[in-house]
Amino acid sequence: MLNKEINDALKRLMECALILLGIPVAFILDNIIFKFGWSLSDTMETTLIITAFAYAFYAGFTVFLSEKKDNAFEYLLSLPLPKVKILFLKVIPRLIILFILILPLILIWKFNPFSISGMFLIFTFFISLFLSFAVDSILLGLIGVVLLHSLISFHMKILNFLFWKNQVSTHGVNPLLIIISSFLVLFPLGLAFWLVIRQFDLKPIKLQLKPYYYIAIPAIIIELIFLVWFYRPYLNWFQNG
Amino acid sequence: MIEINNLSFNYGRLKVFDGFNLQIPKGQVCLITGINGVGKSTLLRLVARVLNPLSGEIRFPQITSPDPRSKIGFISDTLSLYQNLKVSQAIDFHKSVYKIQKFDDSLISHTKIKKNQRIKELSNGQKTIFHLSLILSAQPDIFLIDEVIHSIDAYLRKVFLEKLIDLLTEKKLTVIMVNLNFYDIENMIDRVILLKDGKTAVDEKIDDLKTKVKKITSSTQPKNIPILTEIHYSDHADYYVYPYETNDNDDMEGEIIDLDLTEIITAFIGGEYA
Amino acid sequence: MNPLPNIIINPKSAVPVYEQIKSSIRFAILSGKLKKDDKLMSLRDLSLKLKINPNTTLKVYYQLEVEGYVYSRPGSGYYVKTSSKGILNKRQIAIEKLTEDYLSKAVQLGNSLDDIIKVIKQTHEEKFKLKGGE
Repeated sequence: MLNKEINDALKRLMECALILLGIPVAFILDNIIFKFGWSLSDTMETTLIITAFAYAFYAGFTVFLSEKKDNAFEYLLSLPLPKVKILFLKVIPRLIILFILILPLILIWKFNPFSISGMFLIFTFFISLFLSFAVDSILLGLIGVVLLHSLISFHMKILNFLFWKNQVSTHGVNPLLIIISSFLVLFPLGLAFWLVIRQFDLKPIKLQLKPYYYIAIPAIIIELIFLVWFYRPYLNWFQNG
Repeated sequence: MIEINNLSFNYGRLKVFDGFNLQIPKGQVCLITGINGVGKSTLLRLVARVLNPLSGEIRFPQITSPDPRSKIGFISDTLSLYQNLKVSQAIDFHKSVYKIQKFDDSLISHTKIKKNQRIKELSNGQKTIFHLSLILSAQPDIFLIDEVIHSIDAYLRKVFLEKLIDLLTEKKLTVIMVNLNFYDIENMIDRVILLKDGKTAVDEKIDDLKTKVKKITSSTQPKNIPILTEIHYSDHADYYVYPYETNDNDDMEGEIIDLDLTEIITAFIGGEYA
Repeated sequence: MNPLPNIIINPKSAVPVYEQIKSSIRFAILSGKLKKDDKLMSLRDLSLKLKINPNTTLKVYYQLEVEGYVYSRPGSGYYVKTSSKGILNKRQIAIEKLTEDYLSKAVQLGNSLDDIIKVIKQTHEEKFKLKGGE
């Protein structure tokens, strides 16, 4: 099982690595046309970061791609494997490859995996993983990831304002702030995902999404309502202006 | 042994089973039949644990391993396998999951399947035979076969049948088959179950069934025997009846004819539609 | 090679498969085709040959043993038991059983006993006497 999952994860990586081809292209374009004065190092760093984010999203979102595409859920479910084990065998190789991918960023460009962008990379993987069951289309998945990321950012801003009186700047991020903000989004989503996985069987997927309807979606809606309520003065200003 | 107690199952609002009970003793070969959509495959999937019951339980008292699936071999009608794997990779995958040393190639050695072919390149019949080989390699105690055997050709069916006989000789394999409507497997079956509206409408040992289901060819409709289905000709009709008792023929008009299993099942299913 | 009676299973018959096989083997024993201490085919072989469930074969051998036609040697298989002394008696039983089956079918078709006897004599005359060469 592990072999297959490593192969699958690598395959997804190869698909994402096409973005790496962007390095020479961007570099040449800049030298010839744009003249922004990008160095090769900058170009490589940017490309690697984009690739890492693309992979985090793609690897998370396609965790059950081989089962969906090959109609292999029935075979997988007939095997004597606990659901937890299946999930671990799928998630661990993908996370390891993600880590290997950002290793050069950490070593060469001093990328801090515990910085906001580092954390967002991990969130990207998990949000897309948690959405993978409920959302079929990759475009909708991408939109969902972007929206939920924005939600986390807004949570951070609000919490920062409410509890730290806006004294924590985004540069020196308080880890507690990141943890609470992301928890507010990831927890209901992750819980719904786990409940679906735990009970998952061969019924049509649509019939199995109740935890999303009863947990994840209400939680996100409540958070959105709170968000709108919090930013109400600005909305009024926006309408009046 | 398979014990199904008070089983209920729905697909959304569609009720399939509501308080269903069935016991299949160890070593029995059981045929489950019924009209399309009655829940034969669903029942098999519930036993295989690829579907979860809404309530009730399915127990395997003789299986001691913590996950009964390790002793259940299940082949569905959907040819579900990882299509992108090569045959050799799929074998390794299966071996690692079931922690078995040896792949049983006694079935695929009769075919033209090559180890470096991808699963998706195999024909439906080849996929079935390959999946059967994987299942048998894990030496199941319970063998669940959905309507897949049609897709394999006559020779491979014979090979499979011989393999099944070997397995039944070696150990008390419990088998549930769904609607295998070809005559060569007829003499393997111990028991026939007809499903109807989420219940067992008929549940008979094969030898009893053959004495109880008859065709009566007559110009007048037989009295006092339930008729499953009938075919009318210009001056007479064939009446398929169940249950027929031997003392029924005292004042019976017409000829009473014995049937083979295929005819019996066709009559039952015809009766469901009538 | 194992002496094997030519066993034909009629899938349309209401006579259970195990009964059909049993009577074929019984006939082979009574007619002398299978002799005392001949080994019967193994469970697996007979099941494979007839394409039947080994449980059925086991039932056949078990019942033949109970009825005194065969005996089993643990780990070795089943062997013909009947001695020549017992044959006559059992031959009698067999013909009675066969006649019973035949008669019930024939009567079912609406024939009287006289008709049936006539047909038996006639058939014997036409099909068997010529071959026997008197």
